[in-house]
Amino acid sequence: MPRYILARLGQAVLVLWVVATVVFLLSRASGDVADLLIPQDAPPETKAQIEANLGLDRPLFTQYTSYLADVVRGDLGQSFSYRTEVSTLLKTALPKTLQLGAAAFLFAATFGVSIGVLSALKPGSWFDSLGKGLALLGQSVPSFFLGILLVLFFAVRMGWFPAFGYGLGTNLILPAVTLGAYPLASLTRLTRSAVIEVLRKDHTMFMRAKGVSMVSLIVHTLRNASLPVVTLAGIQLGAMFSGAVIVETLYAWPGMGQVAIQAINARDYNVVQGVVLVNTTIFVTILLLVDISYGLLDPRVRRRGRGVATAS
Amino acid sequence: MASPLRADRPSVARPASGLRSRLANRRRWKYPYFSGGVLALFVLSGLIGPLVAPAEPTGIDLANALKPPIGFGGSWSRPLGTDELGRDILSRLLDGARVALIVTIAAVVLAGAVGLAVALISGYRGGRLDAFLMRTTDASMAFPVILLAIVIVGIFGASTLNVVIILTVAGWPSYARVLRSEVLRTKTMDYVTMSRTMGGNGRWAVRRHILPNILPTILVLVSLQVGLAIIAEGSLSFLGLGVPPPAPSWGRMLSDGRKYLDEAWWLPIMPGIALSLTVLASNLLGDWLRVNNDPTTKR
Repeated sequence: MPRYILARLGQAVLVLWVVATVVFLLSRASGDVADLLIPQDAPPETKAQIEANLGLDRPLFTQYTSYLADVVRGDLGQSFSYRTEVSTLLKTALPKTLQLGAAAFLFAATFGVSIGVLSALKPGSWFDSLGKGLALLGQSVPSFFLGILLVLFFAVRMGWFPAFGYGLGTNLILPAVTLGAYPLASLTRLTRSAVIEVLRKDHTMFMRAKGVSMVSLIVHTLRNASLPVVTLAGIQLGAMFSGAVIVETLYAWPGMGQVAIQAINARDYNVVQGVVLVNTTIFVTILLLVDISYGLLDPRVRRRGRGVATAS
Repeated sequence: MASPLRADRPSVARPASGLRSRLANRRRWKYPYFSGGVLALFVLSGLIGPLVAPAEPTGIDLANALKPPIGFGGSWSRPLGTDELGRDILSRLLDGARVALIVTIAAVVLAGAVGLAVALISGYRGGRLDAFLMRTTDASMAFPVILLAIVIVGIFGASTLNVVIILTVAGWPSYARVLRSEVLRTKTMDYVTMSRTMGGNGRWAVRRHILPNILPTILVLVSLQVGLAIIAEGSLSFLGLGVPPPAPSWGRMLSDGRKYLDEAWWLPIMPGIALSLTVLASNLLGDWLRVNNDPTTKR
């Protein structure tokens, strides 16, 4: 087990290094880095000053090594539009995105897994059909449209929830539902098929025949069905950042996504780079945790010392 | 609580209520009328939309701004209402369909080509190259699309080409993963082994035996990916990272219309419905193709 974790950790670090390098190379490939860093109407003296400050006159490899050294130390450079350290900026934005993501994930996981399990217990029932229909809709209606519909009905018409703004009470509900809808749909579909598959296995049939209670049967089934579900949940959690950018724009939620979009519009390249690196780190960490959880859930993985290829 | 063992029993055995029998019939539909129809309409709008549009998509008419659609007090000359500048929403939707169609086709074809190539090399060759390619595929599959878009647009700016690049980079891993397992399954078939024994080379086996066999899977994937590509294109436009103005795009219409939500709900709702219907159709078609191409799921 420790060896398995160590190998996965090595891969995670490798991915981070590759992403950091790609971001570096792309910024250099796009032409003049100083142009990326300053507003378009900045005077030429500012540009020259920036180039000297950043050491852009040095050889590419020297620039690369000092860039990597900075990143490893957590120094993401200065933001030009906010006039502060990028790391300070992200430290205030990140918790807000995490709160949104956690709420959405909780919503998606709770409802997705329970609807999936209940549907699987009675395939073909009205509940199953309803769940299937909702899952199909959830995968077809894009989050930015769903969000607008929710705001129109529950904020503008009914006035139950605020239409936008940051807050942990009622402010959180509409954004969390909007962000959680898509993962909810895919978790429902996958949980349903995973549970049905396990219920059809001989050992489950045997337990049924022996008269094991439904509750304990579900507990056993869930553990066996959990591997693909955990994989998907992990990927969805990581991919939630994509959705978060949209939802944050929609609800004026001051998280990482908002910072990124504003940074792109202000051509604040250091911030863009910081957002990408921080998000990749979070993302890689989640995947690492998912891989480790395989080992905990499935003894076969532990013994073999490598992950199973799980496709849905 | 019903027995889970019931899952194995054919659903026909149960007496069907009105709704249930209709749902069961839907499953036995011979052709996907709804999804085919919507997708045909989408393609047609993209091809000849501007010719049948009731008005110029960019024709500003401030006297007729924020007119509601038919059924809500609107007139037939502006069937879906007008936006804040008095532009006809139907005409703009038809024009936006072209942008969505071009971007989607380009992205799906490119991503499919890259994914198929990786799948063939990875699946047919196997070995270390396979392991390397699959690790890369997993990593790219997991990488968030919007993060990629932020990198590319943040550095190179927004353009149609960049949208296609982003969607291609985001889309190829799904093809590669699924098609690789199909290649693995097909290449061990007796007739492929036979063809190799009789002196056929690898390229021949791939072209003559493997490709035709994985074609149905490719079609299913393409259909599902069209939906994902349309959502992704819409998301990018919504965030201002997509196809730049003045080309109208559904995502940007939605995003611009947001400001008028309490006085003119049709501004964001109309493009949203167009988008969702197209995606729903492509998802349904994908499901239909999967069920009807795979003999194991046929009842």
